[in-house]
Amino acid sequence: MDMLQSLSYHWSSPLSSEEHQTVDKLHQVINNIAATTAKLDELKIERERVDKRLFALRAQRAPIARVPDEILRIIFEYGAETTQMSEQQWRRETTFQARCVQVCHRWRRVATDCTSLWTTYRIHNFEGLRALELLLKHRHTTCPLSIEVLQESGHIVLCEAERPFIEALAYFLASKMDRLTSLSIGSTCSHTLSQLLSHGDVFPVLRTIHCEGGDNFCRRRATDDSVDVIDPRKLPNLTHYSSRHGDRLRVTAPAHSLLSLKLFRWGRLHNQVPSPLQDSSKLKRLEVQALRWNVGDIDNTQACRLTDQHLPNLEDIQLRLEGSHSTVFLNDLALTRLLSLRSLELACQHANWDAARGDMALLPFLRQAANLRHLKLMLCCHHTREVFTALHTEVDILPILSEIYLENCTDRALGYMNNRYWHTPAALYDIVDVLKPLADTRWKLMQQASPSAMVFLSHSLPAGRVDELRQLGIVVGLVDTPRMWWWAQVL
Amino acid sequence: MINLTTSDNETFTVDKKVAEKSVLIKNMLEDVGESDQAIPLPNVTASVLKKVLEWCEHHKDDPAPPENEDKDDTRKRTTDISEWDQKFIAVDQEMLFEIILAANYLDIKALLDVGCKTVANMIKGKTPEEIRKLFNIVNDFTPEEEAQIKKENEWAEDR
Repeated sequence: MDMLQSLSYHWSSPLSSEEHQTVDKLHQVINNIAATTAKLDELKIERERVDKRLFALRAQRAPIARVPDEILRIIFEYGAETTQMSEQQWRRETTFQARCVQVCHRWRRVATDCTSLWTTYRIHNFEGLRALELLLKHRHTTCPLSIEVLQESGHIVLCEAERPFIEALAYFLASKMDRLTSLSIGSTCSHTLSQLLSHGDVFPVLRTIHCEGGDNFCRRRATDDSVDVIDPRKLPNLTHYSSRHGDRLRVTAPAHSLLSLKLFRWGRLHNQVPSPLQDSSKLKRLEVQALRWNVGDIDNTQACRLTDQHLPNLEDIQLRLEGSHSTVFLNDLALTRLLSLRSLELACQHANWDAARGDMALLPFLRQAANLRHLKLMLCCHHTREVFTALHTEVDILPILSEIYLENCTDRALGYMNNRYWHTPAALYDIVDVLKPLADTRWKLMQQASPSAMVFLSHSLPAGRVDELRQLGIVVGLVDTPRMWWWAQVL
Repeated sequence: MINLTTSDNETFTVDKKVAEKSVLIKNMLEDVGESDQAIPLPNVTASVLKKVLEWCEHHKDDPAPPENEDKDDTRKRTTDISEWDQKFIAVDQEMLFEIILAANYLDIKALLDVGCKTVANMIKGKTPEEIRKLFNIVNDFTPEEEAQIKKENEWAEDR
């Protein structure tokens, strides 16, 4: 119409008939344009609607639509992130799971129904603690809680300024003691377990405790303040405990609920510390890394030694021995009956060095473990040969053994230290030579014990002649070697 | 050797040890005993079974995974995948989810985990809109619901 008006010139003389016709024609064109524009707009809207409909139809056939809810939940669980309750991040939830609930109704339902996605929080400081308190007032008001405590400052010694935070945290944990299922104390945290749990009477559902306790912790003086105390009366259902500083562990009463114990750097702090092993009648799994028990410790703590009454349910032992005398721990374990033991994984960093000293009674230990099925030997060349010789010559030793896993990387550590990533292990070079005697008698026994009997060899071994073993009838599997525990330390 | 027949009537002959990576097949073999008859797998097509068997062949000598009982709660929340598995699972979305469904049906937990971790990795770092586009998911929230979700997500700002 604007166009029309702009063309409506006012002449003094009357319009000719042709001019009238032209103006009418112009009106008609302009009207057509308006109608077509309106139609175009309509078509655009229609196109958008059809596009959406097509997307929806395709979405019904989309691969992810065919995945059932239980698999979607597994995907969410794998991707789930700990909610960081720190000053910078607490105002807006940006975790994996928080984004998943915004995708569609179905994802929202599956994710919100999966409580394990919403239960793990990491606290650094006061701000984070206040944020978590506020969050738990608004949402997730009843679900179980898993709390990770880190400390930003990383002070070597607990400074006075941090005490109010510890107090507040301890009160918070006490207020949530009916919901707290897991507590993890991070590597930069210098608070002890006892301090954090000091205000709660009983934590009835706390099942897992992980004390990282880092370097700050180990530099502390060995005083009562720096000891992690497990009081089973306060933690009646604690099933899993792990600590980087096992020598700071004290159990005040029998821990009958404990099923797994994982300790790093376990040495005896002083003679008054009783062995937690004596108090754990249900213990099934024991993992100790960098064990540092000394001969003198054992001699001076006769009252703490294990007996055949201890550890009646122990099924799985993983030991990483360190130092020249730490192997006496195995001797101590051998004092128990070991009848429930199914699996032993043993790593010795000391290699041949102790062999002549004869300070580890590995064979007497194995002779006692009559129900052992899985044996994994790492890093200990001498003991590997010793065990295989026994397996070859003694029919009665480990009668139902069906799985042997062999790994030898002694020189790899040295290779790494020398800036060489790979170095062929020398001591256990000819794997065929070591394993060949198995074929005579032992392999038949292993197959009788289990039709799926197997010898697993790590790719880290020089296993080029492994076909020779297979030709002898031994079923040999070659498996990838996970990064070694001590390698991780070196790195 | 074991014969397996797919939904599109293709038959695969595989080593028993490889086939027994599937708990479903292992249980079937234990129930019916050794037989020349092919085991029907009506929920798996030939192209998918071929991929699944490739994975089983590579992992046939893997030690049995530890049982989950008595494990602590930190088992999940990791999306690490071995290098070989990463290359194996680098397929289009259609095949990826078919592998996941097949692993679920055949009860091959380790393969199911590889698939689920891969999908979790695809989701990581993306906005809800990007996730919808990636997986062809309809945003079925009403504008009111979207506003509510946004408000929930910023729950702490109005304290």
